[in-house]
Amino acid sequence: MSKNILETQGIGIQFGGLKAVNNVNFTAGEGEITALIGPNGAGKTTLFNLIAGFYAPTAGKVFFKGEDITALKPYQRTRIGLARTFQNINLFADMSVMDNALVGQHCRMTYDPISAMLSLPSKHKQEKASRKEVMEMLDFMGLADVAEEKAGSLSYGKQKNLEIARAMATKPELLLLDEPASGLNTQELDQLSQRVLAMRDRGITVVLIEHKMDVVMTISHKVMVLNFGETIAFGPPETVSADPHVIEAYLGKEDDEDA
Amino acid sequence: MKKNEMTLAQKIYRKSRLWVILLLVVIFPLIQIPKNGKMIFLADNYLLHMANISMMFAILTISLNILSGFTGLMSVGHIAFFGIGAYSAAILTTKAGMPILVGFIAAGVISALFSLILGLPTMRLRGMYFSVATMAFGEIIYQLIKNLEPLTGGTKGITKIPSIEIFGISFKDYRNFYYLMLLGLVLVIVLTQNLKNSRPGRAMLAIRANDIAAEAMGVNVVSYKLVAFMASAFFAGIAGAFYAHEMRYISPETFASVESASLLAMMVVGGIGSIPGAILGGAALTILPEVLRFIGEFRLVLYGAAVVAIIIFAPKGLGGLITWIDETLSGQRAKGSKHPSEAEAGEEAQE
Amino acid sequence: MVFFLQQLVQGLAIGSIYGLIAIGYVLIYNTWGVLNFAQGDMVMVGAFTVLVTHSMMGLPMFLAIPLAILMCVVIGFIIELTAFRPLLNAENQRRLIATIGVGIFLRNLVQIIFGADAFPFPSIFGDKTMDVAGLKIVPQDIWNTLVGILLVVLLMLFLKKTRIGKAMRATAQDREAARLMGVNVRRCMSGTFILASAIGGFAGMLLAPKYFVIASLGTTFGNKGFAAALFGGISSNAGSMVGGVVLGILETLAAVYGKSTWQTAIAFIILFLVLVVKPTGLMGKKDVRKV
Repeated sequence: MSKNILETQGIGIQFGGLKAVNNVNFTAGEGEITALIGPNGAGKTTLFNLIAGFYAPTAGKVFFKGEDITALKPYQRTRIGLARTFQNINLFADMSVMDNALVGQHCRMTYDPISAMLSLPSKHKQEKASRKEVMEMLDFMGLADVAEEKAGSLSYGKQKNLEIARAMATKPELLLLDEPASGLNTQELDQLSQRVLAMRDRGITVVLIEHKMDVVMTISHKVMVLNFGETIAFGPPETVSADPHVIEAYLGKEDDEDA
Repeated sequence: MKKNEMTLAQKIYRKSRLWVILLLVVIFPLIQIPKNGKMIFLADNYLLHMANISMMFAILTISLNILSGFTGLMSVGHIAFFGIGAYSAAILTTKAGMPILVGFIAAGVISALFSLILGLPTMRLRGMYFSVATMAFGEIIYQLIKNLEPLTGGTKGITKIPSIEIFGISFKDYRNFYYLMLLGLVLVIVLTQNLKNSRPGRAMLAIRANDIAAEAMGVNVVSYKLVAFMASAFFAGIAGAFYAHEMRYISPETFASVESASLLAMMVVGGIGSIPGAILGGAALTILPEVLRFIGEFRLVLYGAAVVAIIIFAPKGLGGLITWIDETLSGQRAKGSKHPSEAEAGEEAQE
Repeated sequence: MVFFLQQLVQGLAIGSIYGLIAIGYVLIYNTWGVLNFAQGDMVMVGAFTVLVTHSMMGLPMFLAIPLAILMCVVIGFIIELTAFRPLLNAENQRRLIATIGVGIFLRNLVQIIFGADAFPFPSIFGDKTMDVAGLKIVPQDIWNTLVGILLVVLLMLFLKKTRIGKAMRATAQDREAARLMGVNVRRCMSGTFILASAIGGFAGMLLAPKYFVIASLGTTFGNKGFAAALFGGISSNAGSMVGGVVLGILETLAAVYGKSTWQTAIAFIILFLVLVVKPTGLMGKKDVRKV
């Protein structure tokens, strides 16, 4: 078993009286693909928000690369290599595809506003390097030909891809993908699986929330099942899918998930 | 998109558009026409003064755009920074006898410092709350200007502000000042444009589009809002210094909070986030009341109605119109390409 | 002590009017999601309508005021139709500027019609001072306070108890959900806007006897009402009354014990501090952000 790059220890959050996530011990092995499944409202996205720092936990801690990052703000977590996508597309609609992805490169560049205004050499050098990097990322996600178009004018599938490309542009070591497959057709779904595997091959650890069981079962090393904010199973896909609790809580209702 | 198939005319247009505009504005004050057998300047002092004030408002509108257009934070008290700049320059050059250049730099720096003081506690406020805080700030500054008599001269204002002189060339003359103002405007445009197409600029635009996603991309939202605020206040302060030295007399009424509203109107009429739009908006709303002077008091009624009408019927403002003309002439306009629908851009209403 | 109480009474009287103006902002903000910068000018319009019906048309007060309110309703409806409804789905910034445009329009239109002079207006409730336990009290002040508070109570009852009121609240909370529940959202939004215009106008009528009727009336009092709305919490109707009263009292005290020139600044310094410390105001609910 490989080392865990991400670990949550007894993490939980309460909204009012409701425990949206309760005492979850999630881990993601370095270089592996880990899936997070569960019925709607099980707390999957909330767990993502806790890991990425958008919510402050009311209990527990988050460790990344062995360090306690519970107190870090989201942008600081991105800086140290933790990136995410959003379930509902959260692109910068009025900006070009290229610029969207360049925002992802934000923390990989260093020049300051003064050099930006005066167009100093440091700006040119870094911009050039970043654009090259971003172009490669767009190419990887099949977006190179629409680089100059406005993000808001892309088709749904391409917008989803741009979400991922933008997150990839931050050069993450750990990438959190929130329902990357929702709304995609079969062909796009295939491409997505290929790309997620390719990301893993590049050494990026991937954690994804997904409803499509076939995708989850074929590509992930480990699967965590959440229900009512609590872990009901965590292990290799084959063990999890055989777990009676899981079948009862989740798999039995698989059919209405897509509704 | 078929970018490569440009006609010759389109190519010439694209190569020359900026230079032609620049040439026109440079020679405008020099054009002479015959009248009564004598050659006189086409642009008289009144026209030049209007042009100078328009350029100054263009700088001011661009500065507001750096904050409100880039990051989406709506300032309803921006005129305060203009006032701080004008008074800083005026006080330093009249009462402290400082050189004019020092006054100019101080105008920008002091304005930026005020924005830092205002920004530190308010940058976390979202949407309307920030707007209201800036409005309160604007009102407080206005009251300070009016009441700190020993420093600001109270309601009487400050008179005898020196005119600018560089290397023995006097800029007291409106025609000379025009070129100084133009230089200032061009500089501000270049700096702002550079900022827009850069790492910090993109971060600001990202904050406006979607601050949560921006944060997820590693943008420190609060500090970039603050950077935008300070840059914005700096340029507004510089515009204030220009104003003080062009008018050579300043009084509190110019900086009353109602003026912040007309500044916002300039920005929106020009098109939020658009630099050419800011220039046009600034000029249009300076000149419009003057042109409409012949209909007397009715002009301000018309002005109010025109602002509402432009907002309803031209969502992208005058800047949008310019972009459309520009894209059409240079053949860049993709078939059927439309701006993202309004419905998509809006709906951030619920706070 | 008597002097202090005297100031308190005066602060209460002006404060309750601030509260009325504030409620106009709150109603429109919660339903339309935009701060209506023309609300202050609606107050001014209210003062002028009663000037027309009473001073110019010579109607007695009990007829003049309802007619004036009716005029405010019509004007409010026209504003809603021309400047608010077309921009319902537009960016916030544009909607905000549109309201500023409306304000400029109203202010200057009134100035053209009536000139820039200030019109005196007779007191509605008599202007002889009464002596109550050593306090000198103008009946108008008492009436303003009572009417102001009564109106807010009535308004809250209306919103809580009546069918239309409930529909309006539902619309303010969640337009889409209200629509699904069969509420006529468009009509409710219009209704709320008109109601806010009428309340604003009525506040203007209460102001008319104490301050001269002048086109710039709206700017001054609009800003105060707006500060009161934020002070009390923009999400709360009751909060705006509390905000108004507190602001009125603080302002009066500041003017007496401090330098009177700073009176206007006080409102904004308080507002600024409130925003920094508790942006949602005294009685506002915390707004939770979804990610």
